[in-house]
Formats: sequence, structure tokens, C-alpha cells
Amino acid sequence: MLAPFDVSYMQSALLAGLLISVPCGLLGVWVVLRGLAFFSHAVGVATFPGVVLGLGFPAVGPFAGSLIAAGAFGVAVSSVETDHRVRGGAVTGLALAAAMAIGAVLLTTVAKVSAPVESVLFGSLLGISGLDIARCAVAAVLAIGALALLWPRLAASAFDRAWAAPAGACPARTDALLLILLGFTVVTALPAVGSLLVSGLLVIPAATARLLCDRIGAMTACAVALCTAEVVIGLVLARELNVAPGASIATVGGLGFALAAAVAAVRSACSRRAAGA
Amino acid sequence: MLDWLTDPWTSALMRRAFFEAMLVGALCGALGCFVLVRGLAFLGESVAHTVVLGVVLAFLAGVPIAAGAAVLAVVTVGLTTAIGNDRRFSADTAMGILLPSLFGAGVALIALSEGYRSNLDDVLFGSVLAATEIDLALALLAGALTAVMLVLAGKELALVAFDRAMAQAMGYRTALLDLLLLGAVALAVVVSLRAVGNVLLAGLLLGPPATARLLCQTFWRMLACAGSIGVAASIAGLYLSWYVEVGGGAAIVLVVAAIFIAVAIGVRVAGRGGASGERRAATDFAYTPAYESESHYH
Amino acid sequence: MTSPRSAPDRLDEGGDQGPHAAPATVTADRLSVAFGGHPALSEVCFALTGGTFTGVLGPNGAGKTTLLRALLGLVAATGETTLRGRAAYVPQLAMVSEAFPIDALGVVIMGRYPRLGWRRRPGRGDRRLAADLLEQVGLADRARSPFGALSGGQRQRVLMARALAQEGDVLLLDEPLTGIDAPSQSTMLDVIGAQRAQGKTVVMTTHDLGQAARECDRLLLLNRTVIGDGTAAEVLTPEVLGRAYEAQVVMLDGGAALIDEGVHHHPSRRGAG
Repeated sequence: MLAPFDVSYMQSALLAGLLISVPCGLLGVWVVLRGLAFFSHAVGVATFPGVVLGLGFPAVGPFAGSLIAAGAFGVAVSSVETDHRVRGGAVTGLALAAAMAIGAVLLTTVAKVSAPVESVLFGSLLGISGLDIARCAVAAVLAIGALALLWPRLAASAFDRAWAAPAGACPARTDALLLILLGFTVVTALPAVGSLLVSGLLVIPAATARLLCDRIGAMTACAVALCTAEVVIGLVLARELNVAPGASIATVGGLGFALAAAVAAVRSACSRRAAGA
Repeated sequence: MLDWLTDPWTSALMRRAFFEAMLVGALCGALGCFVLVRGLAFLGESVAHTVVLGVVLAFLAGVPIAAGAAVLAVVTVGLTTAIGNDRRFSADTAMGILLPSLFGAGVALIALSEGYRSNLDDVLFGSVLAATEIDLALALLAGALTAVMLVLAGKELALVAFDRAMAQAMGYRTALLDLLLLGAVALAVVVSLRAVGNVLLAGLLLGPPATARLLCQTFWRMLACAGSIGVAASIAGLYLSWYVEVGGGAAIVLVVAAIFIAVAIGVRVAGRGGASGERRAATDFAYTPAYESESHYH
Repeated sequence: MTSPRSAPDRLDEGGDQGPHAAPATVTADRLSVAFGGHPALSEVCFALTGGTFTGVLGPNGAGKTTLLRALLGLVAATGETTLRGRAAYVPQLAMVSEAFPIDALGVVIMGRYPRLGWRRRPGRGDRRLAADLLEQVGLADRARSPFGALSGGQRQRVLMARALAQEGDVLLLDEPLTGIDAPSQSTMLDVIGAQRAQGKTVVMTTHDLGQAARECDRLLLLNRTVIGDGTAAEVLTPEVLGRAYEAQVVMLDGGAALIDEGVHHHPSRRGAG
């Protein structure tokens, strides 16, 4: 086994990371194309109190806790966002802060957990169990299956919703399925990257792929590849530098995006000059 | 009987905390109204997180952390605009890229710099109980500057917030006004870091305005209402934290959320009851113009 | 100038009132749509036949787009609508995402899904059809260009090709000629003409009275209800136009109409924000 992965916990982390890159890359494409970055971030943050509560009551466990929190949050937000009087995400923003506050309160009162706040918020190399890996595998399978079935509907709804609806693509139902899948993926990624940075796994590789590809098929493949690369590099850095994996993965992702943006800018400048300005 | 009211004020530490929180509450409540009206909730949330990087960098460079935070706020907004201008990306995606990467970089740096590592909790959740006189002075300064700005340019800022096209048509330098507002919000963010920390900041910036919007029909009343709610929630939150052993910042945000829920339910119940619900049921609430030229438009 | 016939309640349309009158393909009978208490359409009645090109005209907020959406069953409505056969819809260009990573050919291929069902993958025959349709709208050389990189007129033509790929019997077009270059408009009108010749029913909403008068067989003048229904000569008179646009209409030399729209009532915006 190569150097950073010669320890069992790193092998677990690597396996989980490779598996979670699949749904994150596949679904991340739709997060970018449908403007669901805020939603993904919100779901991630909302799981914080659920995880803390789950850690405090081992019978529940962090996974169940985060699932319940994500589900409750999704339902609450969707019912609020339909009220036109409180506009544009402000209530969601407030709800996020409240979720963090509840989590903070729980940490000091009901659930005096042994796991430090850092690992819940930003992930931990040591905290990835076999069960977590299995869940990542489930998320990967679900994402592949759903996308294989729903691809045309997703594409039509994202490109031209007004056309897709009368054409029979059922945008509303497709959306609901997408959001549920997203929520589940976010929850399974939590042990590795934590509540606050999980949206990075979904958005950044896909956005970088968008810079490099002009067709959705290529973009999807690219997103999965980039996500895998960012996760692996991030995990290695997390071990070498002793930082939380969520932070290192997100930073690597950001650098990747910047690099791709620079390359794309240079490429377009050259082609413009070649075409004679 | 009144002991429970006056008890916290006997501690010098709490007195400073009270003043700090009240100032921050008023500041965020008022400025948050602009953020709300312009639909910039996600941007506010993003900036609140990305400034961590600026804070750590400033700390490492030996520069006042307020400066680092301010720089990052500007950088975040600038990059968000730049990425959002590309036809392939929305503002939502831009923030989805910047928030995790810049915030993640900040968190990574904190882990790498031994001196700051112990303060992660304070950075994230604030430590209003550790407010120093310098913090208070900074908050006062920020409050004074914002008040001056609102007095001198408040109407123009409100106009740009509501109808940018019209403001431009009327000849206002909207870019300059945007910068002014951004500066004020950045200042509020920097000053509020101490009181509520990064992850709770959005609660104080968005909660009171969202609540005020349900209660008020005009922008200026909304501003005043939001500021008042901010102050009230800060006081109540600190009382809570004094008696119940929860962090100051968390307590304040929870009070803000509770107030919002109560008002939202109350408004819905009241709306069902009478005609007033119908009147307010339209798309947006009215902005009462403060000067004549607006009367040509509706 | 003949006096305009009373516009609504004409259900014997197609101009052909003989024993072989064509069957109606698109009808509306007392169609009404309201959004939150605000009426968008009120008691709209008409009947269209195959092989016709109908222009739907009216001021802003008259309900033109709502009419199309009601015909497609996308909005809650009272009254009856019928649509015989399959409908192909070209929504307004402004609603389409220009950020989506797809090329022109891909867009047209997407038009095959309503026929194939949303689970089957388009085959080689579908791809060839899509390529042919792109050629029909004059964009064969731009098949691989990203949709977002195309001009407004080119995009509109691609969306038209997509509608053709659906092989519908009724074509519903929402402002397809608005704001695009003249050559593209001409191509679009050629395609519409070809569809009409094949017996399809084409309905187009538009702002351009002159263009509609020139190109359409029949005009439907709408302002929440049907104000005028008939040929250009019948509908585009000062009285009928004046009723539809709630404004002063002055006829200039050569039959052009000048409309002074006066004070505009924007339906929903009140105050600022």
C-alpha cells in the first residue's frame, strides 16, 4: 500500500472517499445546473444538531440523527419558501443559524459528547466506520440508478422547464426525487467532510467540470473524475498536515477551480487571437 | 423580586457583553434589511463564513483582524460577481464554490497555526462574554459610521435596493452606492464576529429583518423594527445565557428564531381572522417614497 | 371599411361554412383562468381547424401566454378546451437556460422524447431526423455549437426544430419572432408555412400587428377576452383595436395604425420591489 494509505483508517477513508465521489460528482452536475448550491449547503448545516443529538444518544446514532434533521429541514424550508412575503432565502439563512445554535446548545447541555466539534463540522479521518463505507456505496448505487432512469427528464427540466412540463417530463416529481437523493448523499458524506463543508463536494468539482466541458455527458464524467481526485488529494493532505479532511478537500477543490478557470481563460484568449480578434 | 433582572448587570463582564450585543444587534438588524430586500441572504451567509480566512491571515501577518476580514468580504463579493457574470454560472453556484473553499482554507489554516487553533469555538460561535473595551469601541465606531451613512445616504441606498434601474435612470452612481453598502455590511460582519461568531452571524443579519418585514409596511419602519428586535433579542439572549449556561451567541440567535416563529404564526392567525390579511396579501409591501420625484412611478 | 362583426361566440370557424367544413382541432369554450383572484382570461371562445396559421394579439398582460398554457393544460381553468392530436410547444425564448451544456443537435434530439417516451434512448434514426430538421431551419453547420453560444435568432430556430421533432399536430408558439433578426424570422415563417401546408394547426402569439396581418390566416385579438376574431381586415380596425388596447387608434395613410397606449396598468407591481 502506498505511503499515506498504509494505515487502516486511511484505507477506510480512501474507500469511503472513492465511493462518495460517484454520487457527489453525478448529482453535483445538477446542483450546479439547477442552482441548488444554497440548498445543499443548508441541508448540510441543518444536520449539525441532528448529528450532535445522535452522538449524545447512542441508541439513535449520528446517521439517524442527521437523516431526521435533514428531512425535517427539507420539509420546513419547502413549506416556507412558498410564502412570497418572506423572500429569497432569508428564512433559510435564519433557520441555518438557528440549527447551528441548537447544535451548540446541545453540545454543552444534553449531549456532552466526546467527539470534538471540529470533527462533526469538518469531518474526521478517524471517524469513518465500515457502516459509513457501506452507506457511501448505497448512495453511489442509488445515484447511478436514479440518473440512469431520470436523465432525460432531468436534462429537459433543467434546460427548458416550460417546454418539459407539457412534453411529459414531470419536472415536479423529478425535482422531488433529485432533492431527496441530494439529501441522502449529503448525509452519507458527513463523516468524511462534516456539516459545514459538504456542499463543496457537490458544487466545486461539477463547477470545474463546467469550465472544461460544453456537453453534459462529458461534464458529468469530468465531475466524477475531478471529485475523486480532489477527495484523494484532500485526504492525503489531511493526514500529512493534520487538518480536517473537509477543509483540505474543499481547499483543493477551490484551487482546482481556480486552475481550470485560468486554463480556460488562457485557452479562450489564444483562440480569440488566432481567430484574429 | 427584581433581583433576577438586575443580577447580570452587576458583573462588569456582563455589562460589556450587554452593550456589545445591543450594538451588534442594532447594527445587524438595520443593515440586514438591505441584505434582505436585495435578496442577498446567501451572499450574507457566504461572507460570514469566508471572512474566517481573512481573520486567520491577518492574525498570522500581525495585522488587525478587522482589516483581514474586511478584505475577504470584498474579495468574496468581487469573486461572486465575477463568476456569476459568466453565462455558465449562477450567483448561487459562485457562492457554492467560494463558501466551502475559502472557509475551508481558513479552517485549515487555523489547524496549522497553533496560536489560533484553540479559538476555533470562539471563531465559529462567538464569545460575547469575552468582549473587551476595544471590541466595544469598535462596535460603537461601526454604529456611528453606519448611522451617519444612513442619515446622509439612506434614501439613495433604499432606492437602489428597491429599484436599481430607476436609480440609474435618475442618475445615481449605483456602483458607488453598492460599494458603500457593501462596506457597511462588511463592517457589521467584522464587528459581529466577536459577539456571535461566523456560523451564527446570518441569524442576526437576516432574522430581525425577516421578522420586521412581516410586521411593517414601509422600509424605514422595517429598519427601525429590525434594529429594535436585534437589540431586544440580544438582551434576552444574554439573560438566557446568564441563567441557563448556554453560549451567548447561540442564545441570542435562538431568541431571534423564536421571535420570528412567534410573529410568523401570529401574522398568519391574524390574517385568517380579518381584512387586514387581505390587504397585506399582495406581492410586495409598499415603499413609501421620501421625495417627490418618485410620485411619477408607482 | 366594413364594420367589424361581433367578435366572440363564433364557433363555425375556418372561413369555410360549407358542407365540408373542416373539423376543429383546437377549441376553447368559455375558457377562464384566474390567478389568485386576478382574472387573466375571461370567457374565451374560439375554434381553429387544421392547416391554419392563427395569430394571437393583444397588449401586455392580455393573457396570450396564459391562453397557450391553458390549451396545454398547464394552468387551472374553468370552461372547456379541446386539442386534437399532439401539441408541440415553443415557449418564450427568455425562459430557456443559456447556461446548460448542450449543443444545437442535442436540443433537437430532446424533442424526440415525447414520442419515444422518457425512458428510451434516441437511436440513429432520431439523430438523423434531428440533423435534417436543423438543416431545415438553416443551422446544419451549427449542429455542434453550444446552445448558449448561438444568437437569439439561431436559438429560436433550434427550438422550432425541436418542436418539429415532436411531430405534433398542433404547434403552439409563444412570441417566436420577437426580437430576432429578419433572416431568422423569414426562416421561421417558411417553416410555419410548410407545417400549415401539411395540415397542422399553428398558433402564434405576437406583438407585431403588421407582421401578423401579413402572415396569418386569422387573427385573435385578446384582452382577457376575445375582442376580435377573424381576418386582418375584420380585426385590425380602429374600433376593434381601440377596444383591445384601451387606447386611441389613428389610421394613417396606407392602412397603418398608430396606437397611443396612454397610461399603462401593470397588473401586479405596486410600490417598489
